[in-house]
Amino acid sequence: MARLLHDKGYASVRPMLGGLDAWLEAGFPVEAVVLEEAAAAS
Amino acid sequence: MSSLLNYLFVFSASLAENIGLPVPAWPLIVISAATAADGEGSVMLVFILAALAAAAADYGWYRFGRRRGSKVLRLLCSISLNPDSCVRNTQATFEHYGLKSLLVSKFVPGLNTIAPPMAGMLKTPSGKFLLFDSVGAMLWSASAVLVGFTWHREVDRILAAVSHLGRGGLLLAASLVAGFVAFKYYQRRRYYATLRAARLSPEEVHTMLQQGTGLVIVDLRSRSSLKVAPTKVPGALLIAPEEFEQRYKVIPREREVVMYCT
Repeated sequence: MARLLHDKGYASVRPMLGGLDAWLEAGFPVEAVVLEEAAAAS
Repeated sequence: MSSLLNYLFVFSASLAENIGLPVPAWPLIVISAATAADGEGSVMLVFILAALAAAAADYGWYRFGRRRGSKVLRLLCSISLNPDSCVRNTQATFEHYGLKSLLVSKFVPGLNTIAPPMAGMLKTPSGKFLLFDSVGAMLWSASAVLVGFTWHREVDRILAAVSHLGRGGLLLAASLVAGFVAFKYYQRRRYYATLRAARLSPEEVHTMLQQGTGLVIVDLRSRSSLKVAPTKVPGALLIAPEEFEQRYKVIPREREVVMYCT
């Protein structure tokens, strides 16, 4: 998907190493997923 | 070739490839096993040495990945000549299949060199790593040894034919190897040109967020995994993978983008 964005002309697209699990493991803050937003994402 | 030379040969070939050098170890193990089957040593020992060298090289990378994290990726890219080893597809494979990918990684170009340091980066316990990795190394070594053992007469005939060609045959073999290395090198250069994007560590993302660099974060988890874990990196846009092609336009084009999944 990063490649797709790259092809669409996005200049800088990078994946985050380890995903959300690594983020949580590092102890960084998270916020709750809002329902409307989740609905919009569906 | 004496048995001792044969053992040394197979051990160094396996070690070199698994360190990340562009050495085609698998066919070399086949040759070594065939030579052993013809009386130059023990086939079993060839199997053990090839697996041992592979596991030792992997463990080195694992330790290194554990200690140095994403810096190891950059180093790997610069020595392996294998662009695939840097490609995030293989990283995604590892993140998706986890430790099980160590069982087959030796058979997948690219994943081979990237899997052990990835396991280290993701802080896999060393006992677990050693277990999965050594089984993977044994499967890989066993496949080559079995081929060499089963078809040792055929392998012999090919070797004899090549040596019959004399200097010409040697030259041919040398230019084939040189061509292989040159091709890998070319692939790597091309890869570097198209992709300068290394992965960002969570630490780097966190720092960039605090500095307010206008980073856009995109959460790519599917709806079902959002239900299981209903939290996200603060401010992240939610775009499910199924929706990506239709919805990617909500991502501002001129900003720096970071994506993540589970």
